[in-house]
Amino acid sequence: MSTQAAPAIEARQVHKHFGHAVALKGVDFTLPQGESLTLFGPNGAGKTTLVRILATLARANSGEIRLFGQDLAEGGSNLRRRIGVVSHKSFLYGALTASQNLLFYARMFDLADPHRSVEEILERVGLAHRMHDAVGTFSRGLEQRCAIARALIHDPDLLLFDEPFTGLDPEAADQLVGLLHQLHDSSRTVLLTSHDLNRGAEMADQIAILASGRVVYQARRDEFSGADLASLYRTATQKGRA
Amino acid sequence: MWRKIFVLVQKDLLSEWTSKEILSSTVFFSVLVLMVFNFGFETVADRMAAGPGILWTTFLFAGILGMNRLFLTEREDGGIEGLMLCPIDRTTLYLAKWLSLLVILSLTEIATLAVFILFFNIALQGGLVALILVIVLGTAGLAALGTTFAAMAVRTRTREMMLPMLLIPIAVPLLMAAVKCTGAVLGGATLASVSSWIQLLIAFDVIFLAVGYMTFPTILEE
Amino acid sequence: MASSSPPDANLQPQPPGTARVDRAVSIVPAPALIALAAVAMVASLYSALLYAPTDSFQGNIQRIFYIHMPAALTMYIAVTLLFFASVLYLQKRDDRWDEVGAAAAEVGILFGTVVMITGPMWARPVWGTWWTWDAKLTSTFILWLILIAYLMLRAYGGAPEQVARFCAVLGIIGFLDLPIIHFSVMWWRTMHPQPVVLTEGGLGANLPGSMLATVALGMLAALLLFAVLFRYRLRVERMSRRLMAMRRSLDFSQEENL
Repeated sequence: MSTQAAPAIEARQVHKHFGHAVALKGVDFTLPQGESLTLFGPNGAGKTTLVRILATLARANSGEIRLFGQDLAEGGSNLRRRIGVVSHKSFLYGALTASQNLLFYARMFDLADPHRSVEEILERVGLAHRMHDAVGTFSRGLEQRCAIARALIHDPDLLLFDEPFTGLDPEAADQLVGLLHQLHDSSRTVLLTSHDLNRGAEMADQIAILASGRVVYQARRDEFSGADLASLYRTATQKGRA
Repeated sequence: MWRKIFVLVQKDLLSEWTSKEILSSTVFFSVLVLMVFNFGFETVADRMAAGPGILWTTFLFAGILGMNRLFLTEREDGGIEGLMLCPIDRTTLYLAKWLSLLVILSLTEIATLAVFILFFNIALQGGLVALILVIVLGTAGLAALGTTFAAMAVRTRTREMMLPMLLIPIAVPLLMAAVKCTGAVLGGATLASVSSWIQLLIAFDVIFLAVGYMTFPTILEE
Repeated sequence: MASSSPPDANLQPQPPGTARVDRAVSIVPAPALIALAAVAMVASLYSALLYAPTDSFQGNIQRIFYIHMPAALTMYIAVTLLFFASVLYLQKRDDRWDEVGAAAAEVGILFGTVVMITGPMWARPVWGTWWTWDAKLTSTFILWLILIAYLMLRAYGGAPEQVARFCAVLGIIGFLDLPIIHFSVMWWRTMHPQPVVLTEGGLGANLPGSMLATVALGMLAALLLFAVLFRYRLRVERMSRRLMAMRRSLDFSQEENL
């Protein structure tokens, strides 16, 4: 299989436990390059654990994960250049300004022209006017925009968003939707998790439901409707709770 | 690799310089501890004899505070995980954190030393360079162990309380060596007279830096 | 591409690498081991209290030595075992090595406590103080503290997987520190009776034969006692892991049946 055709993410029988609590009980899914997948699931379903594993922040206990055809465990540093992560934590340093934070990451990712990359990304997310302000002074919405800038600055092929709509006011949420639409092009793959059925599926090519550590439902965008989704979700999560 | 280490240390120091969160607490704490020690010893002779021990005990306690702060904030902002997302080896990350900690601890200790000289009326007799060398060697060891243990401690249930429990028993020989060497220098002797202690310091630093370097990926794993 | 591995190694037949540990633990059937240890302990007590000659300087109190020294040596042996278990765990990531480490540390600390109690009991009549910061006592005390720190890490370290890794790191660091502690404490100051068994004249050159025999017997008894306690502690640890694995799979299969 050539790297061109390799799926962005290929997960097979991924297991993860913490002591006697099992977080992921055999997750299977495939996400082709250039597509966008939204993963729904209730709290405790294992969404964050899965994203952390994909982001190389955690290691699965067993199973196989391949990103762009490369084994995740062995890919190491080089794979990380191709991944951008937005999560609950901003991964930003509160005492430093937006521009200082981004400059730091630009340098860590070995970008050719760090200063220019920083300026460009700040323009793109609409933070240029606050670039010299300490990130600690930002509102949640602005902080998240800066986090997204951080995730995008090295132009990754795969974007992982873990519940990005949490804590955002409607205006900020709309802005995020706009940004997600922008990012949805054939050169980038996006995986987004959400526990809010109303948001997050608008620009997805595929949706899936994660419940009790497993993918219980998967479908392409055109195969379902909003109402289907709501009842499917309810059934899937009730099963898990029994 | 060294370029990235430099970028990292620069970021840590810039962050600390802007907020002065760590340094302000550790320096103030050191002053308070020195003052308490001062009252704990009755005569001038007692104070002089205990001087090096007092100095290093203060370095240790303030150092533990500093280590906890450095790693605790990393955990909250997701700072160290942000570093884990970068294309940098986790072993290299260890060296960078070690250096950042070394610089921050050293800055604290310089301030502490100044106050110490003041409170205890120490006449340095030209041994300043030797003294600085001893302090750097000792601090390098504390920072090496501290980076390893603080990274572990903040991930445990007892969090920052775990750090002194892990660090102090292991660091005892380092402290002994540092105290002996400091005592010698303050007393006007040369470093050659305590060469075995200096060798012990160096051996300690090298061994635990190596172990820390090799085990850091394991500690950061989840 | 390899096929996915089974989710729970603890429930599968044991992998070959750890067979050696299991064999070592079960090489002597439990009843025989206990009997042997009991016999050795009784013999050693008799030897220490009645057979060995009374020390000309210290009098009968010196007999504590026959418990004190073997206990101390056994603690050091436990720590060495802990070190190897830690290294092997980090290399192979096999939980069984983590279990060995946990058992070794706990039983080791028990022997350490015996040393810490018999030490002052012996010191008081002979040296006039309960405690002194001399080389051997300080070294052993620090080691005891390191083992306590190890147990704290076991108790409060977080999730079991994390605890195993952290404790292994501490086990390695603690062991590597021992020679450094030894030298630093020795150079600091010394007051302990000079080594009477391991001296320059060769093993036991300074001791009369009967005392040496008693020490040897004491050492044998201590090691056998350690083996018995270690074996049971290891069993308990192993069972508790299996229980945890069962809880995991129960959780898992509950989902399957829906």
